[in-house]
Amino acid sequence: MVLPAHTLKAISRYWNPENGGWCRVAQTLIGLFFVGAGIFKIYNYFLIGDGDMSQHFQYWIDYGWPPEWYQVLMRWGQQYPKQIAFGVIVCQIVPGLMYVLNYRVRLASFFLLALQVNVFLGTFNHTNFNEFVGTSVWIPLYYLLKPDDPKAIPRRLWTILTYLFIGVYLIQIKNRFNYNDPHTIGFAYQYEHLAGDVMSSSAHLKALVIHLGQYKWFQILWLSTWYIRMAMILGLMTRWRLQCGTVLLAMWIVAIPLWLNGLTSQGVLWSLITFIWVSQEHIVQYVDKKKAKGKLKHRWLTNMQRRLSLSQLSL
Amino acid sequence: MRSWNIFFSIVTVVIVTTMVMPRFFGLQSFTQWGGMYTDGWCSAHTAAESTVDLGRPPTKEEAEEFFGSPTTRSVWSAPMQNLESCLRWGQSWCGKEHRPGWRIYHVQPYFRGEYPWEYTNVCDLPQPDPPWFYQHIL
Repeated sequence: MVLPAHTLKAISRYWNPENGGWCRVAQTLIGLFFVGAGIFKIYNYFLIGDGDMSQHFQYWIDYGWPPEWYQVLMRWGQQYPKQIAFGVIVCQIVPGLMYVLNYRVRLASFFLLALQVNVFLGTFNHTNFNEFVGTSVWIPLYYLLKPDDPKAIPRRLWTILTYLFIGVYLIQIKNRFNYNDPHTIGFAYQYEHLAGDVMSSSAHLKALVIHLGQYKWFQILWLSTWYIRMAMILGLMTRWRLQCGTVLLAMWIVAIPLWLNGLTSQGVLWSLITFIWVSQEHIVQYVDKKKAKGKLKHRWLTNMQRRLSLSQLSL
Repeated sequence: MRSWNIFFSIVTVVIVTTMVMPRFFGLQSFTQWGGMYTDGWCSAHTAAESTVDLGRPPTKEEAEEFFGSPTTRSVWSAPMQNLESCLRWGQSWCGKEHRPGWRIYHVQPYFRGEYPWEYTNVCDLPQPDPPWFYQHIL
C-alpha cells in the first residue's frame, strides 16, 4: 500500500519524535483502549443486555474483598445498575476520545481517574486484579499531572510517577510468584494451559511454541522470564531504567500475541502502560542528554576562549 | 534516535495488528481491546464411552456424561472465547480420555448461556489444521 504524497507530507509535518511524538502515539492507543472498553460496556449492559452491573458489584463484594466502608457504597449502587453502567460508559468513552484528539487531556484524566479509583477500591484485595486496576489508576494520574509538552515534565514528579509505576509492577510480579511462575512446576502447568485452553493470534504461532516447548532449552527460557522480569523491574530504579523498561515492553509485546485470549485486556493494559512509561522516559533522557551536551559544549568553548585570550595577553 | 524510532514503530505495529484490529490482518480477535465480562466462558457437554469395544454405539446408561469448562487456573486469566474458538475448543476433546477407560465421543459446546450448535455432535464437523487446542498434551 502506498500512501498519497499529501498524506505523507501531513504526517511528516506533525510527526516529530524529538518533541515526544511517541508519547503522543502511546496516548492515542490508550485513548482508543478506553473507547473500546466503553463500547464493549454499551454492548454488554444495554444492547445485548446480559451483563448486569448489580451482579458484577455482588461478584466484587464477594471476591474482590473491598474495604468495608466501600462495600456500603457498592450495596447502595446495586439499586441503580443502569444509571451506574451509563456513568461508567461515559467516563470511559469521553475521556478516551479526548486522549485520542489530545483535547483537554487533564480534564479527561480527572474523570477517568475518579472512575478507576472506584474500580480499584471495589477490587481492593483481589490479588489477580489489583495490579491490573492499579495500571488503570496510574495512567490517568500520569496524564493528569503531566504538562502538555512531555519534554517539560518536572523531573521530580516523573521520579515519583516512576516509583509508583514500579510499585504496580511489584504487585504484578508478586501475584505471578503466587501462581508458581518462577518454579519448575510452573512450566508444565502453563504449557498445558496454553495448549489446552488458550488461543494465540494465529494457530501457526501457537503450534510453533507447542513444538518448541518439547525442548529443554526452551523450557528453561520459558521459566526464566519471571526472573528476567523481576531483574528488569529492579533495574527501573537504576540509571539503566530506560533499557530495563524497554526489555519489559518487548516481553509484553512477545507475550500478548501468544497468550492472546488468556491475557485479555489485562495484558493489553500492561503493554500500553509500559509503552507510555518507556516513551516518556526516553524523551526525558533524550532532552536531558542533549541539554548536558549543550552545556558541555558551551563550557568547552568558554574555556577555549579564556585560554586564547590569556595566550594573547602573554604574547 | 533512529534505533528508538525503529523499536517504537515495531511496538506500535504489533499492538495495532494483534490487539487493536487483528481481524483486519487475518488474526484472532477476542475481547483484548478493552473488553471485560463480554465473551462467555466456553464450556462443553461431553459424553464418553468405555474404551472396551462393545461393537455398537453405547446406550445412554453405558455413556458417562460430563459438563466441563476450560481450567480457570490462573496462568494469566481465565481465557475468553469467541464462537469459533469455543467450537474448536469443544472439538479438541473428541477422542480424548475423559478419565482413564472413558473416551469422549460426543461434544456439544456451550457458549454464553446457549448451545449454538444445538444437538450436533461437533466431533463430526471438520477440524482445522493445525489444531487450535491440544488436550492432554503432557
